[in-house]
Amino acid sequence: MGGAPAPREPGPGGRVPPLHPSPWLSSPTLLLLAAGLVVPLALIFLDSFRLRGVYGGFTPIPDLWEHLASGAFLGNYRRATQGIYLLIFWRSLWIAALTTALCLLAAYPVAYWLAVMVRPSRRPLGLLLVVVPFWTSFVVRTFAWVWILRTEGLVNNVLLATGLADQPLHLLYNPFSVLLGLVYGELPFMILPIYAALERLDRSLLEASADLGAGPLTTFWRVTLPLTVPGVAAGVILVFVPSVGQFLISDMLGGARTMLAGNLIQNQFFGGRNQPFGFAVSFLLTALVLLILWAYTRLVKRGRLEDLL
Amino acid sequence: MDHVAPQGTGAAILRVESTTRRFGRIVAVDHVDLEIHRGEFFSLLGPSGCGKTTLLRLIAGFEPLDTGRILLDGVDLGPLPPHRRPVNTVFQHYALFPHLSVFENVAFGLRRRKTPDPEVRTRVAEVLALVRLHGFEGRMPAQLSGGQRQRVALARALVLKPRILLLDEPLGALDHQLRVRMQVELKALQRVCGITFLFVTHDQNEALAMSDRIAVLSEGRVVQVGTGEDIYERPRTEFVARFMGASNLLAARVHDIVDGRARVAIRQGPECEIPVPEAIRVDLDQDVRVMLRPEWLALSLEAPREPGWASWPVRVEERHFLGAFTSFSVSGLGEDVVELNMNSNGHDGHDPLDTVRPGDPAFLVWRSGLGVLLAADDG
Repeated sequence: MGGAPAPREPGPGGRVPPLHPSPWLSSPTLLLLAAGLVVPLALIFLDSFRLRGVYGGFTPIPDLWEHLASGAFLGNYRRATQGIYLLIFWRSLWIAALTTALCLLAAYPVAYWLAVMVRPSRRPLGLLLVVVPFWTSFVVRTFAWVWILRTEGLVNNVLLATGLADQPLHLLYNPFSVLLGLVYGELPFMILPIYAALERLDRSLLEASADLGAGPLTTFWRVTLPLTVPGVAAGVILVFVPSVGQFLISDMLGGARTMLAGNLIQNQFFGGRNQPFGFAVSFLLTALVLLILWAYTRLVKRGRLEDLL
Repeated sequence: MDHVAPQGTGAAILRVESTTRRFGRIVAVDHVDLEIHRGEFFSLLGPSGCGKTTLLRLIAGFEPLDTGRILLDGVDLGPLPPHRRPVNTVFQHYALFPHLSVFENVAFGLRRRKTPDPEVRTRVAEVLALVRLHGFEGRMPAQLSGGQRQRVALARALVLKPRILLLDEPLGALDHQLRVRMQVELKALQRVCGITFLFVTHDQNEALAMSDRIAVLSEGRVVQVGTGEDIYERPRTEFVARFMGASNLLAARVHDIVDGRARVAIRQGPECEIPVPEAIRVDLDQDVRVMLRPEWLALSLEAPREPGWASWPVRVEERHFLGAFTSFSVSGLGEDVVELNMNSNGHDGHDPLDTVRPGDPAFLVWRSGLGVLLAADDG
């Protein structure tokens, strides 16, 4: 900015000096973080270098020096970065990304309708409908999809009875059903933060936009969406992260066909009895997700996301 | 931009015809008729809830009309959505886009019109200079003071050269001194750009200080339209009289009407002759009220001898020195206490009134033609 120094005017309600609370106030949170996140991650990291036991568990390492020097300690990681496993990682990230995108597309209109179009007195009811599924177990709800999608399920029965199809469709145990289950399960986590952002949005900004000549669509792209980016960003993280690691939906709705990273890890601890390898895959996946999140938040913070939109 | 003559040419630019807006059972705007002249500074004045902001929103297109029409240069605005109306608004809390810089806020409307970039730059620079915000282009709204935000909001609307600028209590959020300064600036700005301003406020002084004409609204209706002098000195109803400033309302009865002047007897007071306003019908022996502004009255220790003055003996009840003037409350004229203001004169001891204290007798004096006749039954 050039020119003369800006004339300062006393605004109504000047800046409030920032508070400097004692750092000890956050110690319970830090303790919880350490106990619940840092310590387990460290253990996973350490155990991922160990050797598997025949019946699960670990085989004691005979010579630690030898284990490190020979590079044997990296064995689990070497295996985890082989083609087949990379493919599983890739597929998991891809399905999670797709889930996130579909959730975003489905959630924004719902959140917009709830926050902007529905009368304020009716909004609590709408929000209740969004969170009502949480009152039932996730497993039960996912199994309900099996009942809906299977060959003798609700959809096929209706299709056959109405003559819209003459053969039952194979709706279950394919990528489609996995994606459907994921989007269904994660949708509320996208709706709620977007709803919160939209509700905070000052309505007079939308009027100002219209007043300055912007039609409804331009107002949405230029004002509403940019100002709700924080909500979208939160929703994306809330949906993407659990989607990458989930194994239940791909297990129940994907059958054995769709192996995702979550299933891979789960198998190592149950069927495969290869805990060290499971730890290595877990750690890799966590690192990968953190890397993606880091890049993503940088993008959002710099406002690049708005440019992309 | 349209060619406009300054200060209103008498030609109507905006006509509001029998316009009504209801919210449930509340009638926010009730069959309002208004005519705003090209180039004038017109204020909608009234207490909160009188419908002034709703009327502005009807013109901007944010609310649909229930009845009536709004014509801008003879064109019915009804079918036009807000983004197609050639009017712009300065919002009460500015409504600046928090994610856009000052430059982009001001350029927002030009960009919607697909104005070429070089022209956007020159016009934004011009209008920012006009509101004295040159050099603030890169700031974000959060980095500005209240007065600066207010000026950005103004620039953002003015840059589009609207046929009418609608201002919704734009000075309401500013502190007193800044508000007074902005009143002067706003009036000067309006003179410079010659755009018709339609200004909403609940502050009488603000309306009086800036407006060419004022419409006083009450409960969704226009009660009186006129210049500041008209409305302050010749209010047509008791509501306007009270709303525009301190007033003494005295019960009186009409004894005679000759040539548009009524001889009225103030209850517990003198008989005086005052003009009958055109809009009011009075009959002989009708009960009316006579309104006298506190500054029209004076206090004297003796009854005036010259003709042309009315006077009445009173008792001083209270005396408050308020700097520029001293306010007195006196009893004896009419049934209630009468308030009057007298300019301060240095209190050097030469004015016998300096020694007047509560309880002392005195004479209330005013020019005998002064006083506004109001219908007594007016609410």
